[in-house]
Amino acid sequence: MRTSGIPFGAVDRDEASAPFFDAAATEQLVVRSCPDGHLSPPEAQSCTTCRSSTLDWAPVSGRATLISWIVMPRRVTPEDPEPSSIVAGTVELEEGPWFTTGLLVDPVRLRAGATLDVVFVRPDGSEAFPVFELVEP
Amino acid sequence: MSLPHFAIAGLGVTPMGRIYGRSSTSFAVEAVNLAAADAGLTIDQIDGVLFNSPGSLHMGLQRALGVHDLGLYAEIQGYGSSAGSMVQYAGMAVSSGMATAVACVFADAPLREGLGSGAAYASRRPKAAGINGIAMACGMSGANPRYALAARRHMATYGTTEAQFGAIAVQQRGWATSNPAAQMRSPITLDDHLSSRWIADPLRLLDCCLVSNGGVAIIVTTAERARDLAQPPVHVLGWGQAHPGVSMEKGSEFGLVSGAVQSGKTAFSMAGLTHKDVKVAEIYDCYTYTVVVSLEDYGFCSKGDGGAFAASGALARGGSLPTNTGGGQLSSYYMWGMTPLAEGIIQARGQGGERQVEAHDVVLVSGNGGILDFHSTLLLSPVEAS
Repeated sequence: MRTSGIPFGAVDRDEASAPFFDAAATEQLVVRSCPDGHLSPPEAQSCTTCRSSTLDWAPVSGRATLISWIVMPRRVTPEDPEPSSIVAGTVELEEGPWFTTGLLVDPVRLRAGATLDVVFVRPDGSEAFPVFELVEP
Repeated sequence: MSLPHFAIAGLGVTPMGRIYGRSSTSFAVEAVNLAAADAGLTIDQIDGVLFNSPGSLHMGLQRALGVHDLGLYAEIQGYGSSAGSMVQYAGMAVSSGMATAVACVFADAPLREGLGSGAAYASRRPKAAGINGIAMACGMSGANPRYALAARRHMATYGTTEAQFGAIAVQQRGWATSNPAAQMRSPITLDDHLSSRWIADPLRLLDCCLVSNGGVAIIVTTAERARDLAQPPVHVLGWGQAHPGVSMEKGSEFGLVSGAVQSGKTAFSMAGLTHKDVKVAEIYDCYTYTVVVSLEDYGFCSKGDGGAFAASGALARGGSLPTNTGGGQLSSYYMWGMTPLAEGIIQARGQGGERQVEAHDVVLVSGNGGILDFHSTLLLSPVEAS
């Protein structure tokens, strides 16, 4: 669990996301799973394969490929005259669902299809949450 | 099935941009009054109102307008697709006799004196919470980063380049130089675009729409009634919507394909036209990228070739597809779907002055809302369908 030197902000849990953040606190990424075992993204309200609204949580490996990414510049302030940019992206988990979150990587190294692995962070005052880093070739 | 014949009979555009000290409602009231007067109607002859805003207009608008005994009154929400959708609902309402003259209005006033455009929408955002809050905590607040993700995917998949996006910004600014209502009228170069600051890499400042205070309204009535009103009628020959509901999972077309495919197909089929009949295109340009993907999806070029098509100069004055002829949201003003719709009406009427496109018998107006989530299409013409 990384708690310092990360450029991301804080996120709070809500009632619906409590199991997701409980799992993240133990460094486990979970997604939604229907009774037939189809997996859907963690924010899904119904199964993206069969539309079932009965969804449980299921662990996934954390291995993913990169779909797209962005680099957000940060505002220069007197306290932080040379702020590092924030890199974020959408990844495709090897089980199929997509997830959009932070990336801990130098953006010049990013390519669509790059292999990534989950890593967990807990910024100040935040729940723990999953971000991704490049798997070294 | 016989198609109802309806038309746009009035257009009202308030002063636009950094105009302070007025509410969204005040702009909406002015826009509706301007549109009614443009059509040659009194405000009391408006018997239907549809309105749309980013949340700054409310159901109290009727009292603010002082209109009574409406046969149709509703807030419509599909973000940037709403203007086109309002025309469609208004057209079906006047065709069925629910109302005889429907005002459709958009207004907003997000700019505050002394604050930059970037601050305009920031106060409306909630704190990062829940699973979707994770992306927000990682810098993805508002539309800019989400469209940047879509644009990057298009670039990575099809080889679309920053310079191709830039070519759109440059051509649209070229149109804006002859639009007296445009907020940005100084020409720009590709270098200006490529050296403008990052908003959300791969999108630069000059890839992004403006922010504007103001209001735009139009009046929809039957084709028959429009013939007797003050302005040349702008007939709606075909229309469509699409709400793709793209899943964010393996196989998703996010960023690659928009609702313009389905919405365009519905509209062209209804009108008995194809993309080859379109003489002027007014395409929702919250970002340069959305022009690229929409051009492809309407069939003006092959999938993946939108960047090259735009960079060929096709969109500029004298090009094969004059597009966003008032400067669009990149250079004229940002009134969601009312920006392309208002310019489409002006071109269809032949009232574009210096920027009027000579052949304007079929004008395509495209609206896009959410993050490519909601789409509307209108095919406008000065000539009534037979």
